[in-house]
Amino acid sequence: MLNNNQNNMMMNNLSLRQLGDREVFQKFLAKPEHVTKDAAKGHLVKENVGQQFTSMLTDNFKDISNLGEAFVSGKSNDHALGRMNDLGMKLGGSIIAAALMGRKATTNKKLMEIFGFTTFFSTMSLWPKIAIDLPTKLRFGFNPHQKYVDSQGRKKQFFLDNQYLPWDVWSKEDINKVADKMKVPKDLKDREEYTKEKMRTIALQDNTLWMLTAGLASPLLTSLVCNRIEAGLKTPVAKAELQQVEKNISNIADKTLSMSKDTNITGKSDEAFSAIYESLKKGEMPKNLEEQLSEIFDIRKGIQNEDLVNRLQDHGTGKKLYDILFKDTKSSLKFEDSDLLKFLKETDPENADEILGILNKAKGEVDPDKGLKGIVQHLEKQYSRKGQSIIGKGSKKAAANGGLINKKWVAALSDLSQNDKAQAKAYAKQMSVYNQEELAKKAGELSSLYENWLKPSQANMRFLEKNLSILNNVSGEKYNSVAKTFVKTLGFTDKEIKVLKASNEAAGGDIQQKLTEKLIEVAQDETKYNKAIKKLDKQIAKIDKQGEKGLTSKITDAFNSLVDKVKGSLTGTSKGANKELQSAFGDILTEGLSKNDAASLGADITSVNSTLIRFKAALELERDIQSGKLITECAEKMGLNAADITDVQKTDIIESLRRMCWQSSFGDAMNKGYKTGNGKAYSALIETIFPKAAEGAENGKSSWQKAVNELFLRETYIPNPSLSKEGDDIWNAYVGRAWGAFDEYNGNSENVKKITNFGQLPKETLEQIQNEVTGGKASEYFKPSNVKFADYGESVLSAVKKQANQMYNDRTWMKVFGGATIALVGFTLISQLFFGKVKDAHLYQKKEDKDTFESGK
Amino acid sequence: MGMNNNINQIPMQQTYNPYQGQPSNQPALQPQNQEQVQPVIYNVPNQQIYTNAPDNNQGVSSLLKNYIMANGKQLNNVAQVQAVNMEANQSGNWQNNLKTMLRSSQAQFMAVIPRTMNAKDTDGNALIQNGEVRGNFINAIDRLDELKALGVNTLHVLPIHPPGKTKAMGTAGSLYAPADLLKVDPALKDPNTPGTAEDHCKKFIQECHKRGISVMLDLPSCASVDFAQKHPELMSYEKNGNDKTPGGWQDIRMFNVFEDEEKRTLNPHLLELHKKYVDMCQDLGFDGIRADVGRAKPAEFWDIIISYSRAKDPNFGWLAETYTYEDASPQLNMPHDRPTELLKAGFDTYYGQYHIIDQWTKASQIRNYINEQIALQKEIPDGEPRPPIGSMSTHDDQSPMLYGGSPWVQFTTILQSTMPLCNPYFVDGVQSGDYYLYPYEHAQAPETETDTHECTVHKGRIDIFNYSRKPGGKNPEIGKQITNMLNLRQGEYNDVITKGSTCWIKPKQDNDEVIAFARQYGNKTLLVVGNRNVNKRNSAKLELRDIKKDQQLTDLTLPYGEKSYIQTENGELKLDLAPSRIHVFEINAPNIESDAFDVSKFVNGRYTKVK
Repeated sequence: MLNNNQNNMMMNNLSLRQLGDREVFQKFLAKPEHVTKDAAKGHLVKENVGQQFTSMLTDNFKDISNLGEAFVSGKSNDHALGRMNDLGMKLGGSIIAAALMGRKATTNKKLMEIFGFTTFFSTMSLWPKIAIDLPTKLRFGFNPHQKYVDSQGRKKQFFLDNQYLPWDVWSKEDINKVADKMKVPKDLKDREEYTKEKMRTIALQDNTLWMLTAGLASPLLTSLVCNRIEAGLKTPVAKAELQQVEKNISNIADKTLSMSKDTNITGKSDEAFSAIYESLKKGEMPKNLEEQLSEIFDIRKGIQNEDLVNRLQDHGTGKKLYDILFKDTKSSLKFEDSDLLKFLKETDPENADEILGILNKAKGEVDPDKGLKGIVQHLEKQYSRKGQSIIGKGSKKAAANGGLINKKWVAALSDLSQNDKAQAKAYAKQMSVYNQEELAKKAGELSSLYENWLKPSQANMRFLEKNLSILNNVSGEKYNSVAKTFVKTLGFTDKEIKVLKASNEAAGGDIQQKLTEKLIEVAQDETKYNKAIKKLDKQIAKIDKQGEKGLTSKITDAFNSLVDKVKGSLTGTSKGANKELQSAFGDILTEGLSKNDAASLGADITSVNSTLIRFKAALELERDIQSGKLITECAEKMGLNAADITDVQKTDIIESLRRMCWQSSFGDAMNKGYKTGNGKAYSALIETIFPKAAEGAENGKSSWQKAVNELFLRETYIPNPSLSKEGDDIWNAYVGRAWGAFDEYNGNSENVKKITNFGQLPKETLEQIQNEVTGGKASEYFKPSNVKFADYGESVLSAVKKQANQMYNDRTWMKVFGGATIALVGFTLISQLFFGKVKDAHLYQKKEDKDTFESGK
Repeated sequence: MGMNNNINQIPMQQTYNPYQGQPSNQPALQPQNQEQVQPVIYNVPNQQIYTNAPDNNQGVSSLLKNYIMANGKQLNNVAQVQAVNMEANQSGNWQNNLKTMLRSSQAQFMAVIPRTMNAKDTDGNALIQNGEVRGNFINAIDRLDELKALGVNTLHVLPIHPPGKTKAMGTAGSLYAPADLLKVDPALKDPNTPGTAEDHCKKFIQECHKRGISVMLDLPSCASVDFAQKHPELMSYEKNGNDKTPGGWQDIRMFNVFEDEEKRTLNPHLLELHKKYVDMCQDLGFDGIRADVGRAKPAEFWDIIISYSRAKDPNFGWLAETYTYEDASPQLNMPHDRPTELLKAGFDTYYGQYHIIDQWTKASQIRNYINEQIALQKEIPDGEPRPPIGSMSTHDDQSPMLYGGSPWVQFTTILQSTMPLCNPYFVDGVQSGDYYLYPYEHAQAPETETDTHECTVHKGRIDIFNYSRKPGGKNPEIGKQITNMLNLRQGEYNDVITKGSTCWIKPKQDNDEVIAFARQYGNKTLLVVGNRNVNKRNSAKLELRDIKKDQQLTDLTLPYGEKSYIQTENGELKLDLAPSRIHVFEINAPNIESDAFDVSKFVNGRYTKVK
C-alpha cells in the first residue's frame, strides 16, 4: 500500500527527523576533525635573479629534450609544443644569424649579426619586464608575469589565461601584501576577492598593453641598442683586428721563411715551371710533364743521339740480318736460304723454317726500295702470327730478343742505309728515354714543395692580403670621427646641417659660403678658435697616440718587408737552391701582391691625418686673415705697406688662399695647374693680383714672388712633400733632366722608335733621374698617385659636405627612432596610470560595524 | 539591516514542507531596494557561522559547535523519541548496503530517466506528444525485470524534480533545472494510478528493492531560474546583481555556498535545504545520492551533508560527479574539480575519467589511469577504497555507439566488467545501442510546458530536455554481452574481479594497442586480452610460462564483431585480435605475477601497486 497521506507522513517524520538531527550532531561531535579543501598541488615560482637564470637554462634544456623526444617518438603535449615555439624562434634566429654572419665580410658586421639577434631576443624579453612588470610591481605589488608550477609540474604564467586562474597557489599572506600595496581598504568585506579581481584586471590590462607595444618596442629598442653597440664596437674591433693582422704577418713570415730555408731543390725557372704550376693550381696533370720536368731540372735523356747511331750500327742481330737479307744489294730482298736459316735457328728456332718460307715468299712482293722497312710492313700486312714473331711479338724467344726485326731500329737502320743522317737523328731521339728514376724523384720533390709549402704559403699570403683591407675600416672610422669633430667644432646647428645637406657642392653656393662664415666666426673669437685648435690637436695626437697611424705603418711595413723577404730570401738560401727557381717561387707567392697595394692601404690613415691637418690649416689661415696678420705680412714681404694693397687685391689674395687651402681637392691640384706644386700656381696668382710682380719676374727671380711664395706656401700648407717648395724645386730639376734625357734618347740612332715626351722614356732611366735629383730619396717625392692623394688629404669643403650628410642622416634616424621609442615608453608608462580600475568596484561592500556584529543584534 | 537574525525564525524547526517552510521568512529575505530578485547581504549571527576553524576552548570544531548552537535548541525536547523506519516496513526486509557496495566495487549501475524510461512513442517521431504515454514511475516498474536481468543492481535515477519553466531548455525543461528541489515532478505520476508523485516514486523504489536493486537519486548542482527568483537567500549573484550562471547553461542559477568564503563559512540556508533534500530522499526510500557537479560545493559542505545522511542511514551511498584534479576551473563561475577532497568528505564513488576512453588510444593510457586511481586510494584517510564508476557512457557524453558502434560498446562493457577498482556503469539505451539521435533536434514543437518551443537536444547525448521516446537501439547483442559480463562479475568471478590482483602483461613486439592483463584471486586467474584499435586488427605474443601448447582456452565473453585468432604454444600465447575485440579466458597461471611487468594487489582492503 502506498502511504499517500502527505500530512501524515510529514507529521510522523517530524519527530523522526528531530531525533535524526540530534544523532547527527552527536556523531559530528565524535568526529576528530573536519574535512576541508585540499591544498593546491601547484605553487608559485619565487626565484631570485640567479635562480631565474638557472631556471631559464634548465627550461631551455627541457624544451630541447622535449623537442628531441617529439622528433623520436612523435609524442608531445600542448604545453611542450607551446614552448617549442619559443625554442624554434631561438634556434631559427641563431641559424639565420649564423648564416648572415657567414655572408658578412668584416668582423664588425659579423659580430653585429650576433648582437642583433641576441639584442632582439633580449629586448623582447626585457621590454615587458622593465616597462610593464616593474611599474606594476612597484605600484601594485605583484608581477603580472608571475609564474607558477601547475599540478603536472609544468611551469606556466599565472595570468596567461585570464579565465583560468588557479588562485589557490597564492597564499592569503601574499594576497594581503598585494592588497596592502594596492591600498585596498582594510575594512572591505571582500578584501581578498576585490584584490584578486584587481590583480586579474591589471594583469589583463598589462598583457594587452604588452601585446600592443611589443611589436614596436622590440624592433625600436633593438635598432637603438644595436646602433650604440655598433658604434662602440668599431674602435675596439678595429684595434683587435689590427693587432691580429700584425700577428698574422709575423706568423706567416716566420712560417714561410722557415720553410723556404728547408727547401733544397735545384732547377731553373722557365716557362715549363709556370706551366706545371698553372696545371697544379687547377688540379690538373701537367701536359708533357716529362719534357717539362727534364727542362726544369735538366734531366738528360738516357741515350745520347750519337751513341744510338753507333749502337744501331753495331747491333749484332740487326746488322747480321740486314747483311743476310740484302746480301748483294741494298735495294732489294736477296738472300741465301742456308745463311738465313742458320741465323733464324739461332734466334727463333721454333719458327725458323716457317719464317724462311715467309721471307722467301716475300721476295717478289716486297718493294725493294723500302728495304727492311718494306719487309716489316709486308710481313705485318700479310702474316699475322709468324709475322708478329719476326717483328717482336711472336715466340717467346723472339719476344725476349725484341723480335727478329725491331721495328724502330729497323726503320732507323733502313734510313741509315739510305744515308739520311737527319732522319736517323730524329728516330734516335724518338727512341731515347729520360732517366725515369731521376724524373720521378724530381717530380716528387716538386710536388711536395708545392703541396707542403707553396700552396699553404700562398694561401697565407692571400689571407694576409684580405686582412690588410681592415686598414680601410680603421681609417674609414677614424675619418668619420675626425670630420665629425671638425663640423661640431665649427658649431653648425641642426638647421644649418640640413641646409648643408640640401645644398649642391658642385653649384658652389650655400655650402662654401656657410663654411666660410663658420670659419670666420670661429677665427674672430679667440676662445672659440683656441678651443677648436685644441680639439683638432687632440685628434691629431690621438691618431698617433692611439696607435692607428703607428700600427698601420707598422703593418704596411711588415707586409712590404714580408713580400720582399719572400721574394728575396729565397734566392739567398744557403743550401744551394737554384736562384732562378727560388725567385720563381717568390714571384708565385707574392703574385698579385704589390708593395703599392699595401702602401695605398696604409695611406688611408695618412689621408685622415692630412685631412685633419687641412682642417687645422683652414682655421689657422682664417685666423691670420681675420687678424689682418696675413695682409700685413704679405705687404711686408713684398716691401709694401699694408695700406698699399688695395681692397680688391686683398680680396683676391684671401679668396685665392682660401681656395687653395681648404677648397681645393687633389683633383684640382693635379688638373688645375697645380701639378708642379703650389709654388708656380701662386706665382701665377701673384702675377695676376700684383702686376708689378710680373714685371719683376721678367728678370728671372722676383723677390716679390719669392717672398710671397713662402708666405703662401706656409698659409696653404698641405701635408704633401711633393707639393712643398722643396718638392717644387725637385720637380723642376727632374723635369729639366728628363727633357735632357728625352733629347738624348731621340738623338740616339739605335732607338729606331722615337718618343714624344719624356714620360715615355724607359722606366729605369726615369727612376735613375728621380734618385739623382732627390739624393736617393725618390720614394718621398715621386709617389704613386693614390699615395699622393692620401698625402694631400681631402678638401675641407668636401669633407664637411659629406659629414653634414652623414650627420643629418644620423640625426634624422635618431629623431625618428629615438622619438618613437620615447613616445612608446611614455605611452606605456602613462597608460598604466589608468590601470587597475575594477568594474563595479562600488559593489564591494564595507564590513558591518564591528560592535553591531559582535553584539549579535 | 532590518533583517531579523533570530534563529528561531529560520524555519529549521519545521519538518520539510515545501510550501510552508519558506513563506514565513520571505518578507525578511526580500531585497530592500529592488522589487524582485537581487542580492541580499546577510548579517548572520555568529552562532550560525558554519566553519571548520578549530575552537581551542572546546576542542571541537566550531563548525559543529555553531551548528549545534543554531539547531540544537529545538531538538532538546524530543530526545526520547525513538526512530521508526516506516519505509523498511513497506518494502519488506530491504537493507540498504549501497555504501558498502560502492566502496567494494560491487555496484553495477544503470542511469535511468523516469520521464522517458518507458515512454510509449506510438507515432515513431521520438517525441511524446498528442496523448502518447510519457514515462512515469509506474510504467517504469515494467522495465525493472529487464534491468535486473542485465545484471544491474544499482540505478542512478536522474533528477525527478519539477523543472523550471523560465529561460528553460527544451519543451519539458532540463532535468537539472529544478523548480523545487524538495518536490517530485507531478508529471512522473501515473494518471491512472491513485496516489501522489511521491507515492509513485516510493512504489518504484520498493519495486527496485524487491528485485535487489539499490536506487540513487541525482541531486542537481544548481537550480532553475524560477527557483532562484523564489529563494534569493540561497543563490549566488555577481557583484552587479546579476544571477551567477554556470558557463554554458543559461537555464540554471548557482547556489551561494559560502556565507563568507574567506573564512569558509557555509551558507546555513543552503545547508538546510540540502539537509531537507537528504531527508526527502530517505523518506522516499532512496539508498543514495548522486551529487551532480560535486565541485559546485566545497568539501566542508559535503562533509556535513554526507555525515548527516549517514547518521540516519550509515550505509547511505554517495556518488560524486567529479573527474580529475584541476588547477583552476575552465568553466565560468564553477570552482575547480578536486576529486580527492570530495572523496575525503565521504563520497563512496566518483566519475573519474573513463568518459574520455575514446581519446586513450593506447593500452598504456588505460593502465596509467587505473594506476593513478590506485595511487589516489592512499590519500583517503579512512583506509577504505573509493573505486570510480566505469563511466564509459554517461548522460553528459556522446553515445559510445558514435565512436565505434556495437563492438566498441561491447569492448567497454567487457573492459569495465573486468578492470580492478570499478563499479560498472551504463546509461539506459546503451544496452541496445542507442545513438541518442533525435529527429526533432532543435525543431519547434507545437506543445511545450516551458517558455520555449525549441526541442533542445545535445547531439548524441540522451535527451534530458524533452518528453522523448524510451531509450533503446537496434543492437540487442550489447545487452546480451552486458548480461553475460555483469552476471559473470556478480557470480563465480566476483572475488577475482573485485579483489583480485591485477597483472599487466607486456606483449612481445611491444604493441601499445593490445591490452593484456590478468586478474587473479586465490587459484583463479582471468586473462583479459583486447585490441584497443576500433578499425584495425592487431597481433601480439604474450609470454606466459603457464600456457601449454595443447591447452584449451574458453572465451568467457560472447562473440561479437570480427573473429580473433588465438593460438597456444608452450609458454606463450599468440594473438591476432579483431578490431575492438576483447576476450576473457580463465587460465591456470600460478606464475602470472612474475610474467607481469606491472602488478597491483588488494592488500588490507584496498589496492596497492607492488610492481
